[in-house]
Amino acid sequence: MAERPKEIRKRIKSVSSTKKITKTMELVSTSKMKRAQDRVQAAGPYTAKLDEIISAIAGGGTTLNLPLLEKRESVKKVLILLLTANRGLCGGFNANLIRLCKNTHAEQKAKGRAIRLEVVGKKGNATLKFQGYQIERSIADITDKPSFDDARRIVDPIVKLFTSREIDEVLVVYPHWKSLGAQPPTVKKLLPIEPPAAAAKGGVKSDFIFSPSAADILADLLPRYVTQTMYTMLAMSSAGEQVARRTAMKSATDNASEMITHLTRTLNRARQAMITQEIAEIVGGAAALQK
Amino acid sequence: MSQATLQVDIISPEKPVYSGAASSVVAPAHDGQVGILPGHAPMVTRLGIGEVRVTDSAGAARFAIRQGYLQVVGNKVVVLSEDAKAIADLKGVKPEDLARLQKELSETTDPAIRAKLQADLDWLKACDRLLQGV
Repeated sequence: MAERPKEIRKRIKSVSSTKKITKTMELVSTSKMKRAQDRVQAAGPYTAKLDEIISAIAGGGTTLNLPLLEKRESVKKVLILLLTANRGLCGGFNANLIRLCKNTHAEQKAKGRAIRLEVVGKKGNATLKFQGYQIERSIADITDKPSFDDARRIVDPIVKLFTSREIDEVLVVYPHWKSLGAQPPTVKKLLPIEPPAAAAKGGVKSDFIFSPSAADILADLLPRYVTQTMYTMLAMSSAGEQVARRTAMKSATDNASEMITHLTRTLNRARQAMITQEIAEIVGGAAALQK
Repeated sequence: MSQATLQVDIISPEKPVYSGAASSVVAPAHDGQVGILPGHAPMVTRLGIGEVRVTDSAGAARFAIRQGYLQVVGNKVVVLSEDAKAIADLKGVKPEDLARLQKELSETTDPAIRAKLQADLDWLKACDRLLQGV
């Protein structure tokens, strides 16, 4: 027993206070996670309805020439938008997203495309900057509760770049919310808009009255669709962050508990050894006196 | 068919605002008021700024809408709007905000910014009007 009981006690104290912190963080993330999850689900109906109206128009057989739908023949410049968290202590959440972003970056570069990199969140920004990537725009003021205005703020300049043909494609790297247990980092093409799946069904609902004309509605609706997609991705990102943090903090708390058990055991052993030694000394001393 | 009712959903990006049955809906379309009764033809229309009134047997529910879309299919009415609030949830409009917007509007010349300011101003005015119950 190299360590003395006093030192072990000190370590137990410090581990327990760390455990208190991780436990609290776990609880905080749990409640934030629930709200973030609700937000992801609440965004669903709007997206579904937008999809439906867009499909109704696109499926009506109208051929439309809209810039946001236009697939460029030769893609020269790609914009990669990475969504990360502002804070750490959430396990591999940020690292996984950044890795996927770097892979995508390399992939696009291999295809000979110029890349414009935009990053949301302090973590991604700091890491990529440190590794020597050139970041053209970084957004760090998105909170745990992303609003529709936040999405608008991110997307508007991007849409402008796309319509002015400075950018031919927009890819977003974000954690896709499949369920509470799975939010894999995903690459999604934001622009040009891929026609919604339902549109392929063709002129089912062509008997709609459109006011103003279908083309006008679609021209106005598509940017909203892009913003809504962005909003959903922001909500997913914030929910994913909370899930990751909860898991990380839960395992930290478990580890701390384990460590405390272990240290307590060591402490008891050290204490007993000390007592034994003291008794041995007393007995030894008494025996020496009796001689 | 006279007993038919409408199923009305008012949805904003952040959350569904209202869902329920109704006998009629009046909404501010981009070119004037539009009224919808059961049996309406399928329609998609752009909305302006103003009040959506959902009437059922118990009375009317009122919502403030700032642009968006209205879709009618069968007897289902869907209102999509980035800004949709129940009138009861509206915050009071401060006169100084109105004055500030008015001032900014008179000072800007960029048509895109002007359009946005005008929309902001119309929205505030509409909120004000709705709150006063006119």
